[in-house]
Amino acid sequence: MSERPNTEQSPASRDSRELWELVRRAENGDAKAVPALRQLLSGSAALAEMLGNLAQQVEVSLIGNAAGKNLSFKEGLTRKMELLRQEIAGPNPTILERLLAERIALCWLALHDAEIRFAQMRDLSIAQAESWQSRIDRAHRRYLSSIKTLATVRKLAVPVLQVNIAKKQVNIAGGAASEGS
Amino acid sequence: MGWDKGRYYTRSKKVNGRVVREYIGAGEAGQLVARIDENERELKKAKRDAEHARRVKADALDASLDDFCKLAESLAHAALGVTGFHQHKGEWRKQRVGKAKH
Repeated sequence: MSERPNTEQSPASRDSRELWELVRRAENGDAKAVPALRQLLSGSAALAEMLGNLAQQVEVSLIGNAAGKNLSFKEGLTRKMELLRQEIAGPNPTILERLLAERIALCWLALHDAEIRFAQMRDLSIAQAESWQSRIDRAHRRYLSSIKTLATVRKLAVPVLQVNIAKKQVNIAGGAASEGS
Repeated sequence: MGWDKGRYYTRSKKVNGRVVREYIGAGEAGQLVARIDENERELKKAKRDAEHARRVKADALDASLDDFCKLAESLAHAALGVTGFHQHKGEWRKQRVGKAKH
């Protein structure tokens, strides 16, 4: 990855731009980007730190917006987010699982903040109410999509042990066994 | 809303699509009602501005969360692609070994 001359950007945002380029190249079928991406995804500490920083930036903004000047609420919300992230990520998560767990927690916070704000609003015009309702709908879609992605990654990453006994195939995945001929 | 001939305080409103001017009064009474109307207008404007500021802030937060979500989604797709999966009609499938060689 080449260094950019732009000195105004923070290192984190520069790294995320480079990661974006790498991901885009891989998605567009650029085979040269795949080894670098594979190396990054296999457990790069720098990537984990960068993604963690990005998630933290978003979280600080969301919590600041939700809690306002109420410091005890802010503290409680920060702790709640931490517990939620840990619960979703589970024990020994990969970088990707941790990232997706953080995404779910952030989407959960954004959705609930939007719902609470809307419930507390008074004297809204129809246009304003529709605007907030569509914001809630967007947040809800984003939340469900984040859950779906983590579920897909976990489902496909589960090691499947395939045993052929005579003509019967037994699939064992995550402790559950299913039989098919 | 305004002063007709500089003497009568008036309000304009639409009735059945036509603008109708309502004469409120002159002198101190007119000035009092004018001040009340002015306060109401300022209050409405402050509410509108607050709502606009709230929406701008929420939009900015949504945009930063969207960016993060897009990055996470792209990274997940790239990771699945790197580990030999491809998307077929929205569903992720394992790439066939023979097909991958061609």
